[in-house]
Amino acid sequence: MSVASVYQGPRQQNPLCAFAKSSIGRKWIVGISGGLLVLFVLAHLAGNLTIYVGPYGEGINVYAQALHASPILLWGARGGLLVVFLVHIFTTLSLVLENRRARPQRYAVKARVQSTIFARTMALSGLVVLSFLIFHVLQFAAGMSPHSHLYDLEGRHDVAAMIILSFHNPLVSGFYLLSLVLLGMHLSHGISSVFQTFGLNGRKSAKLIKHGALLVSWALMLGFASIPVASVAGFLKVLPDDRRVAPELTASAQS
Amino acid sequence: MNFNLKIWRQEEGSGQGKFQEVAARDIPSEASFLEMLDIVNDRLTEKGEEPVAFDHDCREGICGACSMTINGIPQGPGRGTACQLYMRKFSDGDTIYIEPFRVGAFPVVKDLVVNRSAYDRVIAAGGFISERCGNAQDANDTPIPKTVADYAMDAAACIGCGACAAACPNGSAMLFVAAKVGHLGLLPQGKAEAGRRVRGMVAQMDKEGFGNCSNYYECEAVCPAGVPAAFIAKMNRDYALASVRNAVEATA
Repeated sequence: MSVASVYQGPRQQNPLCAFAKSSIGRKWIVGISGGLLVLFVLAHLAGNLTIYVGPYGEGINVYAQALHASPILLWGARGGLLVVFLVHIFTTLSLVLENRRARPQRYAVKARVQSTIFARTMALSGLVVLSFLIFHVLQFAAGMSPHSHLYDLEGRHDVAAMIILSFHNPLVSGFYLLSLVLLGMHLSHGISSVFQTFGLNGRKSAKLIKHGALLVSWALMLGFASIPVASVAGFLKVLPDDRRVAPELTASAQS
Repeated sequence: MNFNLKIWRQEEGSGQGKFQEVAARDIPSEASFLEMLDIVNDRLTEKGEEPVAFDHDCREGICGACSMTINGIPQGPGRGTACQLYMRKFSDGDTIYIEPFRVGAFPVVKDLVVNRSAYDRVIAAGGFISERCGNAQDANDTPIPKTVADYAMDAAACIGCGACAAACPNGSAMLFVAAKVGHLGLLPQGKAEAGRRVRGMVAQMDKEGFGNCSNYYECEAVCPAGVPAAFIAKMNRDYALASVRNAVEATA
């Protein structure tokens, strides 16, 4: 009898597939995708803060022009980001649905001993941030804002003016600030959870991770919130309309 | 002391139940929670009513048999099991809700009794050491640092009562499984099978229909043995590493 015909036991699932389908494996997927999204949010904040460069926020116009310089890289990054978002949302969804099934009957008396409000509102905060995100992308990236067709001194797209003028609308800045608070809540639980899921939350590091996560999420929240506040307070100024230069003119002047 | 009890009553084999109001009068303050239920049951029996079914065994806080949720907290307020909870902890005239553990994987058998065999099946999927130990060794034959021994003991303190899963809003058994994976995996006798153990036990945990960990840490707060949630982090890491090692070895 050849060796190959010896019964090897039931056919085993590929170990990595088994990992990706398991409860802990899916938590890893949520953690990795969430961690990537946190890195994106950090990079996004760094980009946004360039609005403080120049008397009329030209820094962000230069930054935006640089971002749009290579459409392949830009759309590659956007596509990658979308995939990460979808993975994060749908993997979480599969876990949440299972969790509902695992606890079919609730207690008559609800008692919380030490879970935080941030942890208990992850789904809610995530959904509000998601709805904000759709609005945000349509408003600024897809150019649906009424202020998205202005040009600055050098004929660049005046991103600063688009942002500052949009924030003069109390509904826009109000929704922005509300979403930031919820994003801060989401991240304060999310960032520390990433460490727990990756098994880096040991006895010694637990406190550091918990407080570090709170600090990072508050810093992110305040960094983003400074822009609408500075816009409404008049700290960030918009270029006067008579000094705007249309891009056609700069192109003809150069040639 | 007098209490107004609202006790979950559920017929055997029935998926439905409801709260029964029972007035518990003249309960001594030094009675444990289970002794209070004994007194209530005696009176119910005298009246010809069905006594309340509840799990109990050692009544010393070490066996993990008692399983009930008191005012929404599995094993009742404070550290320790329900049998180690004394009525003096409550105020005279308090209304106390007594419910069974509510976990999908622990079906209610009757009243406050749930079937916790799911935990046994998780243990059977790897929570053991299969090498024969032989006779007791010389004490210092297998060197184990004191810190490692202590940490393993923190996890080995788990009595498998199920309060962790009952406290978890997701009905997750992660703290129990992490405690068992942790204490065996930390010691030299258990290390040899650590990878197979964590993969087997997590697979069985998922199969039993327990929920997933959302890092609420309610489990850690109610655990009568005080098992820290850091063991869950350790299991998350051990499971990922064991899966990768297994995948690499499967290709070789």
